Amino acid sequence: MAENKENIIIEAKDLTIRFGGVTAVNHVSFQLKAGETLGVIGPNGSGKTTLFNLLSGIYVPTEGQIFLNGEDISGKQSNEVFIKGISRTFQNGRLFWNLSVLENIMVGLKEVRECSVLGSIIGAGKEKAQAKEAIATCLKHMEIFDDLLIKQADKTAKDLPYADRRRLEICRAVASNPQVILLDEPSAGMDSMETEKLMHDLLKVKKAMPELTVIVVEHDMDFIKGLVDKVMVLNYGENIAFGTFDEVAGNEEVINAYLGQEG
Amino acid sequence: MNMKLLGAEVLLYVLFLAFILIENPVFVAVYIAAIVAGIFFAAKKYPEKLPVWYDLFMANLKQVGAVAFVLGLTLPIIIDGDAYWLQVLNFAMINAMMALGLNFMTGRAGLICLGYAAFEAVGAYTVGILTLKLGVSFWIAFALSGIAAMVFGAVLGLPALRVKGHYLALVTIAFGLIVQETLLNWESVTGGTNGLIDIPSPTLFGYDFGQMLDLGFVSMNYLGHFYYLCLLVLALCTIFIFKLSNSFFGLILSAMREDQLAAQCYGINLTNYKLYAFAIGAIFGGFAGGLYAAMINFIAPENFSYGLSVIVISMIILGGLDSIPGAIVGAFFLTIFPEKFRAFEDYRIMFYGLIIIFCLIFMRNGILPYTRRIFMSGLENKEAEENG
Ligand SMILES: Nc1ncnc2c1ncn2[C@@H]1O[C@H](COP(=O)(O)OP(=O)(O)OP(=O)(O)O)[C@@H](O)[C@H]1O
Ligand SMILES: [Mg+2]
Repeated sequence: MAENKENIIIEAKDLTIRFGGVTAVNHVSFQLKAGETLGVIGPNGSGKTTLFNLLSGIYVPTEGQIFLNGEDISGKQSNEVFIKGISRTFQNGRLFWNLSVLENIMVGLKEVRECSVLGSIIGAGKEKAQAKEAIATCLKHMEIFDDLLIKQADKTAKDLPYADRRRLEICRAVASNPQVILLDEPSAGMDSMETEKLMHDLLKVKKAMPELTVIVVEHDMDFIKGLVDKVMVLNYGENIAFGTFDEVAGNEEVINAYLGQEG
Repeated sequence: MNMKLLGAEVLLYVLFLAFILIENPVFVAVYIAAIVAGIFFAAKKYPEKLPVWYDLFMANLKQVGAVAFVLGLTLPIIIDGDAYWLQVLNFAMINAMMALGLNFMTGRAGLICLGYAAFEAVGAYTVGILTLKLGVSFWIAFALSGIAAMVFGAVLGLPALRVKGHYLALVTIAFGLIVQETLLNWESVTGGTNGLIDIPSPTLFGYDFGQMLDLGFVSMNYLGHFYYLCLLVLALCTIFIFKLSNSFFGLILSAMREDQLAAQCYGINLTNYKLYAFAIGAIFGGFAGGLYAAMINFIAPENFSYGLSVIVISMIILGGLDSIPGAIVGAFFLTIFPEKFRAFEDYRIMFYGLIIIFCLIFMRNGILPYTRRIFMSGLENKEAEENG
């Protein structure tokens, strides 16, 4: 048991948030080990994005805690949470639209963030070498998507085709070498071919970074099935089922939740 | 050195000289209209040429800046030391410093500021009070004017941290008004409505900046000294802003401008970076004010009104937000152009308002948008590598 605890990278304990009368996330708990992938599914408005906002420090939980490597990070600001090792993408896409693809990725790098103001002005030559190094690091991370992003490295983000924008968000999240990444509907708006390609690209990322823990929100069940180790189902903010894809798919409450939504 | 670019810049300088030297307002209007029409038709006729030239210009800003500095040295001689135009050009350079600072806050970091005149006021009164009342040397007072403005920038930054967008605009307007009201009411120190009179001219190793400047072949009044001082300070400010904007630090500020939440989720401490942006952007206003006080020898609260803040905003909107050359060109144009229409002095603020509206509707990116990225991959185009 004690040994098991050692491996836990991220843990949510009774995570709850209320907005006025709405309990958007209601006593959600889970634990994930390094390298595991969790799929979060649930009907629209069931609290998936809100859960991500809690995990990434945008919201402060009303109740409950979040642990990263055993350290309580609940209540920390999102920039601190990121530095601790959780990075994320956004459901509606939040790139730095007027920055280039390369620059979007650079923003998340440690060496970029840690440059001093004074150093930028009187860094006498050193900054050029640093920039070169940072650019090389970014280009390396862009290789996840073969040359799709690399050949557009100097394009501004707003000029990218839709699918490449989603890819860039993922690349930006991965480039900071996080321990946990949160992907909020990465395939939203992609056609089935692109979705399948994205799934393979993510499998490649997992292979290249075997210690990386992934939490992904998706509506596409084939995508979930092909990618994740475990599935968590949210309904009205509550965790109604947790297990492997097949276990969850057979769960009656889950079927009802989804049927209820369609009916 | 790119000779093609050098030729083009000398040509632009000649056009600029003509712009200054044509006195008749009707001719000036026709002249500007002709240049705009010329650019318009050139863009129509050679649609691929103009962007190439533009990119060449933007890719070689170091050379463009150095040449502009050298040409700037010759300007007082060419206008034969004309006191009136020296004064206008000095104001243009002082305004350009303010435009650079405001552009850093608003254009680069995305923090709207409608009270920028307050920083010029702080700088001007720092020099005024220190040199006039305490007998401090201008050069020390001048350095302190930048520091004092920086402190005020941070002070403005603190309440501004909690608000965004429209609310930030309101906070900055209030800040500008508070500073102006303080200057009016704190009479014992600031002289109240009467302001500070007889601020001494700077001296350097016994050489008095208040005397005539005699270059041998041409002589001009004391404004010649200030012309060269302003040119030097403007050049240093430009280099400083340019370096800062093209660093990792500059990149982080632009990410913050694009999307504060996303920037925060990527590790950026918004509190710190907003304070840096306000404090650093304010320094330039302080220097501008310090030079203003020493040159005019007389300052009063009315010189630093809300209207001035709007004028500086219109300069960076015309030039193109986040464009360093745009801020300078915008400041020069909007300082010099209204001088041609002194008969319509009362409509001056309206003119700036029209410029803002026109740009926001028809030219969102201004006349000189900065299209190049800070960091280039260096993959497809070798030229990007060279100019790093
Ligand atoms: N800041 C907020 N203030 C008030 N209510 C909120 C807030 N954020 C989320 N909610 C509510 O919480 C509930 C869950 O929303 P959330 O966006 O997390 O759903 P979701 O599962 O991501 O849905 P979708 O599949 O549509 O993305 C919704 O009822 C929403 O209205
Ligand atoms: Mg959602």
